[in-house]
This record gives sequence, structure tokens and C-alpha cells, in this order.
Amino acid sequence: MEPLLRVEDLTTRFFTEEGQVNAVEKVSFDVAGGDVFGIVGESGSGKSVTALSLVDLVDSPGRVTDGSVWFRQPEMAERIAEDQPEAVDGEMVDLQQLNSRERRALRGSEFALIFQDPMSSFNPSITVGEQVAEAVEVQKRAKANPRALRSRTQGFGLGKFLTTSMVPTVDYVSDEAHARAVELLDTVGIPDPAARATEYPHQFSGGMLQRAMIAQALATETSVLIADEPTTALDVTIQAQVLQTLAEIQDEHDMTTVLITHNLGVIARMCDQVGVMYAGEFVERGTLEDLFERPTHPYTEGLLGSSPSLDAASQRLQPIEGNVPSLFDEEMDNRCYFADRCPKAMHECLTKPETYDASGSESHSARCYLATQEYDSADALPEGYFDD
Amino acid sequence: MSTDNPPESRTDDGIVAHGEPLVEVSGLKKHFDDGLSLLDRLLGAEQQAVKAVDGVDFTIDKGETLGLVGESGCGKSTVGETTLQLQTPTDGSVTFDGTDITEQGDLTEFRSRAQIVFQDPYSSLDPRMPVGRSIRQPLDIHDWPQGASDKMARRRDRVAELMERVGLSADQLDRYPGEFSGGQLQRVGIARALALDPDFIVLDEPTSALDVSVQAQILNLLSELQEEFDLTYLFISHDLGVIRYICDRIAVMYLGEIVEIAPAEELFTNPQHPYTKALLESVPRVELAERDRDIDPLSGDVPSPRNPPSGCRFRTRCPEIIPPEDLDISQDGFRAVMDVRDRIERREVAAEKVRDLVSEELAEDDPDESRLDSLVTDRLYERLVPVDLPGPVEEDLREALELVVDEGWEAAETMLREEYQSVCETDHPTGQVACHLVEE
Repeated sequence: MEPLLRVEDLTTRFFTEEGQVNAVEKVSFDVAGGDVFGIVGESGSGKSVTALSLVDLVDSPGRVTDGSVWFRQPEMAERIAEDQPEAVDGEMVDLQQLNSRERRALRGSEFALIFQDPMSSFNPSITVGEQVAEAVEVQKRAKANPRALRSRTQGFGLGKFLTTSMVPTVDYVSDEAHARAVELLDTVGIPDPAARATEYPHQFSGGMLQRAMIAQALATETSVLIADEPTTALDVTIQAQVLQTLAEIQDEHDMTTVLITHNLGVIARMCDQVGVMYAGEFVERGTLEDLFERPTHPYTEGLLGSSPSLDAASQRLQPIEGNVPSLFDEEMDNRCYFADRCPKAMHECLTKPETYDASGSESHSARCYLATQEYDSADALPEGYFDD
Repeated sequence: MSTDNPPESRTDDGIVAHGEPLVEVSGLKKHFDDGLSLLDRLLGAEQQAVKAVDGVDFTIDKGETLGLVGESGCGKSTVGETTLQLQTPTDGSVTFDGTDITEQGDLTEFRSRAQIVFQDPYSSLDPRMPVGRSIRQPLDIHDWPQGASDKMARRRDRVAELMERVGLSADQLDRYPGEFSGGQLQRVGIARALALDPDFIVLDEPTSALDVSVQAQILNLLSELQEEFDLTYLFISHDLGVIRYICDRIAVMYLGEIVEIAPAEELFTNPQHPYTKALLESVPRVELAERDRDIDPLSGDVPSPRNPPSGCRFRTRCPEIIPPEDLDISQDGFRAVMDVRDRIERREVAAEKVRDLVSEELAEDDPDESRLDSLVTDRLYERLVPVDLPGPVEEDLREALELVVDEGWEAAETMLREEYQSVCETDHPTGQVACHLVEE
């Protein structure tokens, strides 16, 4: 099946005063329509920056420096094929190469983001209903007139000035948008949505607010939902509720989701395909079965081996020794970045591996020489090789 | 809950392998006041303390690891801190190795024998103090080794030895916390806790700030140290996987109370308390079958510890709440009834808003007052009761909602309370498993 989203060699760098940081390095993956693609990795591995790079929301000093994000959009592809041939490939358009107007329209209506911390994602001085309604209104206006940015009803006078400065959305949001917002809050499982809509973010619990954020994301018929650690700030019982809501909505709206998390359990529960990130790269990618049954990259094995299990009595955990490497360009050698922590590091690993197909499965690939050859202890690097 | 003895201590032949208690906590309470000013009080504001810990009992045997697990805000960290007397308990006693330390004035000896490792290694170490000095501080404070003439040299050696023992290199002791990663800093925190060769360490979420690969290193280190130095741990965590890996016995906390305490294996294979069951069920497993596992998530949020529910504190969310004996109703049905009662008691039924909505819809036709009220009641019932209820129960609920529409909150409350009072709200459950469903 033709993928809905195809990411090729996405590369994001941060140009800081201390030097260049290679946060995302040549990340490629496909997501079929209606699937959930999971990105898993430890803190600082570049998962969140990858999410932001997809929709080009990386803040300065960061910049997407290379790569393309192909998104299936036949109508637009046809319309702009003549003007911008470089941004069109069949039915796909490249978000990176579209001109900014088209890109903005596409991004606004087809992509939605939800973040980790709902408390800091809402404006504390405006009611939750108002904020969800605003999202609905923005989408409605964008649909009616794709070129319009956030335009306000014109008006002057002191009263007007006072009301708009206290409630910025007052003139902007229509009654229908309010009604729709209440419906959306109901969809995501907020009890008594009409009453809750008039409350402020601090009156919501974390789980409820995360649901409200999902409601915002649903404001339009979004095709792609990017969820960045959506349940990390929540307790497990609340996490279970929110994951269930997400799964139901995913099913109902046939949404395509990119789910970013550090929690392998959440990955196991939600995802069809998974990419494992380490030091800005995808070290392994495949279906859930590929990764859990036939992990190829020693880092994937390490991640699985170091998660304490809930159902089996305690066997000793197999930790990964050492720490996450620096991502400063000048400190990165041209070798496998995991080699210094890898229990199976070989002499080959001192030259950087490509991404190879693994375990015969079409969807499964790994950036490791072990995908192409067996581990040979005769070839192993001597212990303490990286110590200096 | 009474003091509990693990089965090991009750062996008939008199051999006590484990079971000599090191720490005994009974009736421990910690309430935090509102901080109302005198003026507030004169004006009649009521003091409503946050009952962070409200009557907790447990014992920890020598060489044992007791796990304390629960969701955020359930009071588990406060239990750790009050056990160590870092916070003065509001009530209750803590006995350490036979001495009641809540009664004792001078805690110097206790302080050298009981230590703590905190969650966040970045904020629990002084950023302007070399890590070697941080580790040495307990030695300085307790003037270790007493009476020796070459104190400084002995202390320096001890710090180097500790650094090596926790997996750092001794030549790093002049570095500052900023030069270490989170996992390494947590090792420094552990070395500091070990400095005085303690018997008991409270580990307060020691791995929550760490990545999973580094977490495994620290957990393994803690197990090794326990064996080597005969340590007794109180391990506080919200992560059930970690708790299972490291603990011998586990206490599950909910809203300031321990709801279940049991040996680790037993708690995980045969959980008794409905909250424990729900907690275990909600954790997503790292395995392929996870996608198809059915989870029935708990509804609602944790109530406020300022004004916890009467009786069993879990009753507002419990999927197994006990109906009155003479009432023939399904479990879901009774849960729905109790939810409506809760909302009426908290005055959280949006009758006004629904009335506005309904009257707007009716505006075009004829705004007949009496019809309006019954329509509002119907609408409220639809919204609040998602299940089918037996006829008489449905009638009662409708009647109560009708009262609510007329602002008769108290009448509605009393009426429902008389008909649908559960044992879970009148009686406070106690025991190893604090639940009325479990026979002691």
C-alpha cells in the first residue's frame, strides 16, 4: 500500500554558540494511512526534535537542514505540479519544498500535535472550552479560505479594547465553534462537557487536560496526529484511560499517528511500526514483531533487556553500560555511535554502518553490521578501547 | 491496620531466618496545614489540613526491602521523610531497632544509621561543591572516625573507596556535579548515603529521573550493595516493574493510606484489593500480546486529600463497590448510582447550564415552565447515567435529580443516602488488605 507519509533522510541541526548539535541525522520511515508509527528512545536521543521537524516547527537555533517529508495529497499535487515540480512526486507533495503558503495551509489542516505537558500547553487565563473552540474556528476559517491567517473582526472603541484584551477570542469564535468544542470534549470522554467547557485549565486534572488537548487536535479532520509523550506526565491509571481514548479516536477517525515515547509498554500497546532512536539516528526500524521477537541492533536488545518486567519474577536486569553520547558535531567520530557501549562492538564498527535490511522481513532494517553478518568474537574490539 | 509479621517469622521450629524487625511504623500521620493567617481565622476561614499521610502501619525486617508504591500525591514520599524524622509526624510512632525515635530528643546516632537517596540527583547535590566533598560531609558531621588522629587521611581514603564501590573512579572526586551525567550523580548520592555504613536507607524514587538503560545499572548496584552491606531498604516508587524487581514485600498506597501489604510474589500474582488490581492492570506490558490485552481503566481522578471520602477512600472510583444487601443491582449499575450520589454531594450537577440549553431549544415553541423542569431532569439523567438500571432505582435517581433542578440539593442527598448507603462509605476497612470484600 502506498504510504500516507514518507520521511526521507530528515536531518535537523542546532547551531548553538557552543557548536553544532546533530539532533536528528538522516531519519527515514514510511507510515501507511491509519497506522500508528512509534518512535522510542531515551532522553536526548532526538525523538521530540524529529516530531517537530516533521511539521517544521523547530525553533532557532535549530533548523531542518536536509531531507523531505512526503505527504499524500493528490489534489494539491496535481494543482502545483507545474509551478513547483520539485515538490511533487506522483500523488505525494514534499512539505519541505512546498512554498510557505501551501505548506502552512497543509500543515494547519492535515497535521495536529499533542504535547507531553498539558498544563503548560494551555493558556491559564482562558477557559478550556474557549481554547478548544478557537482551534475549531481556526480550522473552519482555514478551510473556507486557505490563504487567510488568523484574522479578527475589525472594531474600535474602549469597550471593544477591554473585552478583547481580557478574552482575546471573544470576537473570533462563533457559537457553532463553541457547540462543536463541547461535542469534541464529549468525544474524548470528558464527563459533563458543557459545564467543564466553562472551566479554566487549573480546574482540570492532568488527565482531563490531556483529553482536552486531544479534543483540540481533533478540531479538524486531521489526517496525521503527532503525539509527543502524550501520557508521560500522567499516573498509570490515568495513562490507561488516555491511551484507550487515543486508540478509540484513532480507530474512529482512521487517523495516522506518529507516537513518540520512551515507554516500551506504551509502544507495545499502541504501535504497528516502530523506530528506535539513538544519538539522533534510527538504529532499528520494523514492525512490533520484528523488534520484540527478532531485535537485531544490540541497542534494541539492551532496551528490552533493561526494562523490569511486571509479570515474570525477577531475573537480573541486563543494563546497557555507559551513558548517552554527546551530540556535538565536533565530538562525534565517524563510527557507529553506539559502539562504545555495545557488548558486541567489532573492528568494523569504527567505520559508520549504513542502514541494512534485517531478518528477511521487508519492513525490518537496522543500522548495524550485525544485520548482514554474524557476531564474531575474534573480531571484537579489545575491552576498554573507548576509555580515553 | 495492625502491625504485620511476614510468614517467615512464624516458623514453628523457632528458626527465625528473617523477621527481626528493624523499623516499625505505627499509626503514622502527617497533616500539612493551610497556612492561614490569624486574620483569616478571625474572619472564620476553616482550617483544612492536607492529610498527606493518614494512619500508616508497617514493619521492615532486617535485610529486607519494603516497596512503597502508589500514584503521585498518595503520600509515599511523605511516609519516607516522616519515617526518617526529616518531617515531624503529626501523630504515630516510629521505632528503629527497638527505640522509639519519635520520643527521642537526640537523633545523632539514628541519623548515622538511617540514610536517604533522593529522586533528583541534580537538585540533591550542591552544584558548587566537588562530589568528593559531598560524600565526605556525613563523615565530617558525625566526626568519623572518632578518636583517630589521622582523620583527614582516613576520610579521604573512605571517600575514594566509596566512589570505587559505586562504580565511579576515585580520581573524579574533585569534579563538580555539572560534569556528571544523571546516572553518575545518582551513584554519588548513593555513595554519600553509604558513607557512615548505615543499616537502613530510604530510596525515594531513586531511578525515576533516569533513562531505562541507566536505571537498570542503578537497580543492580542497589541489589549488590544490599547484599554486601546487609542493608535494609524502604524503596519508594511509582513504577511497578521496578518495585517488583527489587522488593521483597510491597505496600500499596492510596490517598494517604496503605490499602494492601503483601509479599512481592503474592501481590503480583494474586492481588486482593480492587485498587491494586486496577493498578497492575493499567501498566502497559513490554510484550507483543499487549495490543490485544483488555484493559478496563479506572474511571475518574484521585479525590483531594484535604477532604478524603469517608469509609474506604477508594470507594469513589472502585469498580467493586458493595451495594446494600437488600438491593438487587448489577455492579455497573451500582457504580453509576454512586457516581450520581457523589456528584450531588459535591454539588457538581450542571442543572443551571442544562436548563439554559433546554430553554433555548424550546424558546421557539412554548416555554412551558413545568414541562421545562421535567425535560431538564430527563436530560440530566441521560448524561449522568450511562447504564440501564432496575425500574425503582431509576425512579429514585430521577426523583433526586428533580430535587436538584429545584435547588433541593440537601433533600436529594439525604434521600439517596438513605436508600443507597454502601458499607464502603460508612466503615473504614482495616487489615493487610484494607477492603470489605476481603475476609481477614
